[in-house]
Amino acid sequence: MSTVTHAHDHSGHGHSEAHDHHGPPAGFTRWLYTTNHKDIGTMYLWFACFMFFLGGTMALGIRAELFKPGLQFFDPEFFNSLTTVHGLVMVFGAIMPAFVGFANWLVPLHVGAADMAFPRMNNWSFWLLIPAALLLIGSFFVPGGAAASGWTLYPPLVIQQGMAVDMTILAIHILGASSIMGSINIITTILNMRAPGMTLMKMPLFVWTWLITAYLLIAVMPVLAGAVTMLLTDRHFGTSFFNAAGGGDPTMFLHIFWFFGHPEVYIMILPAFGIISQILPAFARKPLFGYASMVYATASIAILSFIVWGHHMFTVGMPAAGNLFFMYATMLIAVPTGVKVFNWISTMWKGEMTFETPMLFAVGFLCLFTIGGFSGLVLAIVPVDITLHNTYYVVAHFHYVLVSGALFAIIGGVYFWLPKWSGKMYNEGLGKLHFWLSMIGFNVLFFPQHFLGLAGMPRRIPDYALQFAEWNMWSSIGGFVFGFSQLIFLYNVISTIRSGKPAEQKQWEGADSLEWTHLPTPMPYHTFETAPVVR
Amino acid sequence: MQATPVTPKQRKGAIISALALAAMAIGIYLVVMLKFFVYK
Repeated sequence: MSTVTHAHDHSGHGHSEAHDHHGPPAGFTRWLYTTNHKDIGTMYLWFACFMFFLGGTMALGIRAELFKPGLQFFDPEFFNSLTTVHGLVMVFGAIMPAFVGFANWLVPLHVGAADMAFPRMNNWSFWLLIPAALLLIGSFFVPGGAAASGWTLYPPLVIQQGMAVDMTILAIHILGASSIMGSINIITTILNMRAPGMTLMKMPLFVWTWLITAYLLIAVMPVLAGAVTMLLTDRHFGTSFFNAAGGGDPTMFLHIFWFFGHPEVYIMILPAFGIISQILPAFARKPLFGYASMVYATASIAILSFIVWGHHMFTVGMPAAGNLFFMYATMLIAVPTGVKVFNWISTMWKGEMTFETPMLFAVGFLCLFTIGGFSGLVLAIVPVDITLHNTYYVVAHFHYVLVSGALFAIIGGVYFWLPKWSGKMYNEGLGKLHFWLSMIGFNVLFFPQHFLGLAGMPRRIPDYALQFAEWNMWSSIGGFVFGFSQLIFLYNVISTIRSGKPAEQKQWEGADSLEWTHLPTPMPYHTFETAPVVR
Repeated sequence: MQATPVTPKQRKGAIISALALAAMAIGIYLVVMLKFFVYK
């Protein structure tokens, strides 16, 4: 990216003095009625934070139960509910809203727009999350308990359960509507509201990754909506789409779900790629290596994500030719992903690197996400997958992708932009402590799960055979270290906002996007009311 | 609410883009649900 830029007015905040009185209104109504992209971004991030700790608490419950063989705390039905709602909360309530929060904060700033294209719809997109979250959480308290079929909601189990499944289906519909509206907003903002001179190939990579992610969301969220609508009619209106007893086919649900589900994985990781692509050049003090190839690689990953869903269901009895197609298509994704990893390493190569907290999380992402990618390649091999399917190897794989991938990028991004967002600098010592405890806790938590999976331990069980005891104990210890170390993050963020030292306008020497080069710290409530001119 | 400085061209482009994207989302949903409409 090359953005040598000049604004009409130096601050990028046209008529700044005249508009200073247009600050936010006070009290709760500010947040309820706000159409300001920064306010809405903040609400998304705090919502995601709350859901992250909620889903994390469920995860700690799971690890406490699995600390040693035998049933310790929960009955098996409740354990299954915990794994199910943990997955749903983390995917739809934590990771996705966190990235939408970043998009709200950063897309207008990165393209030099005053706000999102449809600010009122933006407000509605956020507030739809609240009833959806209440439905998901509330499902624990209805007769029969929360959904216990896993986050994938496979029939026939999900057809036989109680009203919690209906609440989950409604929550998914609401979350889908919210995501689609948010995506429409992001795409229209990027395509129509860019500042003069901000061509597509000058946009920061974070904006590119979100543009592609938003298209993915619009393409696949309706597919999920269709699948769960048919689940609903199977449950209550006498249809048998997925009910074998009525002539339906449960496997068809798997096909439809994973046609959504695999692109969903990239929905959760492409924005992380974007964040990492902003952080690494800033701390390497070099431009991103291979910007154009990064854009094309992102688009390639998105396109390929539509033709690999079958690798989630190698064991259902597809024809051998089908299995082979999905195996090779899945392996093909390693090519554009490899391009990205190569470019990130090349960006750091011979850079004048420093290792502040955001950079630590970015490098941690690079190392651990790559491990998750490699274990994905292992699982792409049909005969291997048939052995490892539904074992803890799969659990280890996708947590390496989604925790040390997506979550590390989110945390690194918060540390990176918090000085700009809040105008205050976080405590670097606490940030580094948080990183190292997370890094150690995470690996102790999930690396042994590879061994457990290879040894044959199935996932989604509250009890296990004695030979799995030792690695499960270590995994649980790692889980509690990782979980409680996130409280340091929470404390660091809150104490920064309340009493951090003032941050500089350009806190990171190598950062070059518009919010660092054109806007003061802290940023005014309204920015780029006069568009900057990008040359 | 602060009125955002949006040019008529930007507004028109945004509305057309949004309608096209919404139509795409609804269309995909209807295609998935096609099996529902032909259900016997």
